[in-house]
Amino acid sequence: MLKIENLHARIEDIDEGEILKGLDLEVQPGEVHAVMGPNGSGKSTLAYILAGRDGYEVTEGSVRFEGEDVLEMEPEERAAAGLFLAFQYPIEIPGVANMYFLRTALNAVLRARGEPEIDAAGFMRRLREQAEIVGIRSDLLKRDVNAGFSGGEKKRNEILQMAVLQPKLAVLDETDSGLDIDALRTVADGVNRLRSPERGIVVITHYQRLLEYIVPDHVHVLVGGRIVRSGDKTLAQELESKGYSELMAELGIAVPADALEATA
Amino acid sequence: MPVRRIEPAADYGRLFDEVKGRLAGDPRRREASFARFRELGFPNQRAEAWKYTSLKSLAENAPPAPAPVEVTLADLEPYLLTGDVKRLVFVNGFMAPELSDIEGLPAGLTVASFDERVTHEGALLADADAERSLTALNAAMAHGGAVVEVADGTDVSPTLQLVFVQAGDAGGMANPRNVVRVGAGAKLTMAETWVALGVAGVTNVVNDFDVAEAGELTVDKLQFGRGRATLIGRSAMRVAQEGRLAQTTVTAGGGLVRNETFARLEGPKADLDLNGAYMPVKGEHVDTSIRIEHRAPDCPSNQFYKGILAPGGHGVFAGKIFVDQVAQRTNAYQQNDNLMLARDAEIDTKPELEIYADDVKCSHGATVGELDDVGLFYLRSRGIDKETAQAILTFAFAGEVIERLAHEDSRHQARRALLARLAGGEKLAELV
Repeated sequence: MLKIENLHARIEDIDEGEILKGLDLEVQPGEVHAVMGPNGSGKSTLAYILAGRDGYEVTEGSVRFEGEDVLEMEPEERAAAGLFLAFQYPIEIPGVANMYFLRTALNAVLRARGEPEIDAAGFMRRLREQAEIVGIRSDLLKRDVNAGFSGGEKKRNEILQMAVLQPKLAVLDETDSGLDIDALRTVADGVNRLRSPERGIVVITHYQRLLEYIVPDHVHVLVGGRIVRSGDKTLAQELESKGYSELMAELGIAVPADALEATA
Repeated sequence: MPVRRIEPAADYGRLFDEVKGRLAGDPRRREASFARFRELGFPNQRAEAWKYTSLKSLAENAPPAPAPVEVTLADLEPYLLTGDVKRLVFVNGFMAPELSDIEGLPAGLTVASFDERVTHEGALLADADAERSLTALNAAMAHGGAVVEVADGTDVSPTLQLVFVQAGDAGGMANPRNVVRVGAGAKLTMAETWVALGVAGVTNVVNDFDVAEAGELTVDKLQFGRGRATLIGRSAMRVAQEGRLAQTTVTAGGGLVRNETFARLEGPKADLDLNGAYMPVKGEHVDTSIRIEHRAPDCPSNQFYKGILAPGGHGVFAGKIFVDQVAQRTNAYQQNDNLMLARDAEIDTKPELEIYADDVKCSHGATVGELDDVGLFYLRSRGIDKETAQAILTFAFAGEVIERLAHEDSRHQARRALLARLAGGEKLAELV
């Protein structure tokens, strides 16, 4: 369903060269892929390019989702097509109630797909059900989007949005960062419930920890803007025991020392 | 010395001659005020307080005398408060009894038309701001407006709404004057609504608000102009010991709107809270000019204003906090945040402090910014189209001020008016 070929990208207005340097990745329905990499390897850049954030320039390569050219689509068109990004740093939007935001988003997506919009009562049922699953207190639904939420609450709110929007392909960008073990379990549980034969999931993470709870079918190691190695879930464990530096050394890849510091 | 006045057009004499026959009160006082006005002239833009707002066109073209125009309740329905409300309506300065409802006022609340009262109390025309030409002009021609009194200790239950309507396209000039006196320990909530049903005309209103010891006055100030309709308003506010005055202004329309506030905290622990939101669109000019004087110790004051500057709109905010040397432990806060929706919008914002006491907490800040790109991307990444996402964020920006309006219908009206001015606002109708 997702096919990334030879993707090269750089940040606009910054003269630092390419961050992604020929990335290939293919995700089939029903699969969970983990993309692991040290700091600065291009993980978040990949996530943002998939979601369509401004400020990134794709210099080469292609991204296709169900055959469509994703790079030509506006962010809202991508959402309507069934792409979803769970943000590493969810945005606070004071003045906009979480509930209103979720319903507006869901109806926008339904409308774009030519499906009937959901009424307020139907929406509330769906929302309460999903909120319980991801462990979001009902008062957070009434509050402004992410405003004053703790780190864990923000991440749960991302998973709640995913559960409400029911995307075909979800990309989770470092959803584990800043979570304690209980929150990690709840979030992972929410993601696991969304696993289905029709849905693809890409988990982007620095650590193997999250992958104990969301067990991937495929693991890819992203270093220096390219996937340098792919394997099954055992690759994540191997990476955890060796660290990025040893794995890179085995592969004969030079990595800047500062990118590896945080991996011990 | 630089010339800081613009000579009023000779036609102002004609205007005064036309209206003076129907003015209540002592004619000599009226003549004296008019002479004073001619002498002062209109302020020009070399006067600091008028640096960004031009009265040239008003000075050079005297508006015609106002005339009564028929207005129905249906015309006003979108602007009226419902529920437990008493109401006085003035159309082009003329009181409209058929649109008003002040029957059965609760004990302790007195509401009279200004014209009725000024016949017996000439002092009502006394000039608090002897140097302000627009006040002199108002004093010369004051017609319409209300005198409201709340007796000591009375907690008034109904909200009192004063509605000033500019109707017809003839462009007459109304000069209403309002006097509100809230007695010791008394409480009143009111709304001051300005509605332009026509696209021209001028309202030059002068308000005199007095809150006695431990009294409380809450004002929703709602301004719905259109076309070239002009509103120039001056509110003098005095708050005595432990009294409280809270006012929230929402300006949604008007060719030229100038809201001046001159407030004095006169007794210890007097509390003043001024909030506002303005959204000028193409060809509109909204100017907020505030001076708060802390004349006693332990007084908090707060100014919280937000501007949304649509393409071609012009906003001005000048707020000054003056702290007298006796006003120790003053706690004064001022914030003016502006959201620019286009490059060709303009905002001139100037916070100012003048402090003569040494133990005070005063803060002021002004910001001018655009919509947050990251916030926009976040909404769009969830499927919300760009225009709607922009409208949601813009609307949310003003929300914090709108929430401070006292009456639910005021909030509703303010939201509806702002959404109507916002590209894509119709998609957010359920937020009203």
